[in-house]
Amino acid sequence: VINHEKENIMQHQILSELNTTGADLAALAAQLDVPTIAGLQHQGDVSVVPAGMVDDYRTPKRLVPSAGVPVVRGESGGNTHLLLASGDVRFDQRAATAEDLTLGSLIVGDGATAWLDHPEHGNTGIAPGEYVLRRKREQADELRMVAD
Amino acid sequence: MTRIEKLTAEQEHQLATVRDEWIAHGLSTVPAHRALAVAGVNEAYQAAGLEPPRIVIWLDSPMAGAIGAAYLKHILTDPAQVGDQVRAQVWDQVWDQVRAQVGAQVGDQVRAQVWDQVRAQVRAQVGAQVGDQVRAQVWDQVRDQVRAQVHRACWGQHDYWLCFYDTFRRFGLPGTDRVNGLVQTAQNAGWWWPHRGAVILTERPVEIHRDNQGRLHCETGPAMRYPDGFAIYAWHGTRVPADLVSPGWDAKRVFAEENTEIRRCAVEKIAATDGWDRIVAELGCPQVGSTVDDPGNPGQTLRLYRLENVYDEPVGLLLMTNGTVERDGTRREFGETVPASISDPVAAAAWQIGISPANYRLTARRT
Repeated sequence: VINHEKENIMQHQILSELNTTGADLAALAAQLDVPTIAGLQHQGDVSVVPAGMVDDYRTPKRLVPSAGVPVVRGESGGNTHLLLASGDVRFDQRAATAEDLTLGSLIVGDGATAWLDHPEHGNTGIAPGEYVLRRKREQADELRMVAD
Repeated sequence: MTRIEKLTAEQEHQLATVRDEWIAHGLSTVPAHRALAVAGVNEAYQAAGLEPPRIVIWLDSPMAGAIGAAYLKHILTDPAQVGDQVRAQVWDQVWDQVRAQVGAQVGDQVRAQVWDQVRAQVRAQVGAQVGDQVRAQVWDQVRDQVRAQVHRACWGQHDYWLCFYDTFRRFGLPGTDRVNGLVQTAQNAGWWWPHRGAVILTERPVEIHRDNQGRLHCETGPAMRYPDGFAIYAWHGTRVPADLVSPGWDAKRVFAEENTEIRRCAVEKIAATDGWDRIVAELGCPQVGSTVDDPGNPGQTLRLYRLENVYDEPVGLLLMTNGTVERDGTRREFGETVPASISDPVAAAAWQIGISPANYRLTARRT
């Protein structure tokens, strides 16, 4: 895949599509120049918030499997935010509601990397550290989750 | 038996031909070639060890086909002759056998090559952008027994996965001619439902419109329409309510929509040239606070407006722009609602994820 589509993939390929052959995620991310970020970042309606900015981080236990974890599934056509991992990355998922925006707690171990990929927003890397993933909310007549 | 480990130059050349033919079939809007389609069905039944169907019913859309298949299952009173569905024999068994043949006779590299150069591309254009959308539209419009028929359909022209085996069939690989019937049906009709003794076949669409990325899209009417009027309205690949496209939604209807993907489509439709500014202007929304740089999103801004007379109470409307540049070079604009008590755009964005404005300003990246 890398060779014959290389010219197309820089901007708009996402790791989960390229990873169907079991290729090394870290190598793919490097080829795609995906930045790896330790600070606060937002991918559409999902935010990666350093644990120090919130009070509901709880040390997660569950290893992220090679197939990844769908953090938020798209409602009208497959726009899923997918959490992928290389190395020791743990994520305990919670059901976010408009009153509780946290999708789960994430720990990226030393030497490990996590990624979020999304068909429209592309890939973003998450550096070693502790985070909560949060979803955006809106205030209309009532509080509601943003359905991206 | 010698395995195919490398394609000849002529075979490599054929890959593009096979791919283009399957894409053309998948997007075809010409009427079904009924005689050839029925001949294909007969051959598919024979390959599965079944008698060809004596009853052939033609309907005008996948929607009609799903309803017809549900009726056929329940109404025909002679279950020994007609009724049980034989998709498993006609499709799955033949499929398994041909897959085993290809597996035994073709090396991994060649399989990967055909998979990438033929199947992946037909899947992207025909399967993901059209077949999946047709299935979802029928699924949304029916319930219960008819819904079950959505799963039991053969997709005919949208059966993109056949192109993989069709490639080896054209190379003359022994055993692959068992897909002849399925291929011939796919090349000559829309969706179809095999039953013992009877088959329901359906027409192809009469129109299909796509954007420059191959996604279903039409700004003035249905993106896909069948002879009986069954239609899919879509905006750049997202299925949307018909009235969003025609006559189009006013700003008030846009904000009543809970799904932001659909809401965004509506806004893109309303404001194809002017963006959110037209909505803000149309409603005469006053700006709240000043226009500020969007933290972590260089070159883009956050703006907050006050939105009245849309919801029961006034709310804030936060306008922002995606960090990611779309394939067409533009950036998507978003408008999302926040409590009216917030008077600063960064505070509004921070409220959306429940952190402090000071922390929000530390954003490293927004895509």
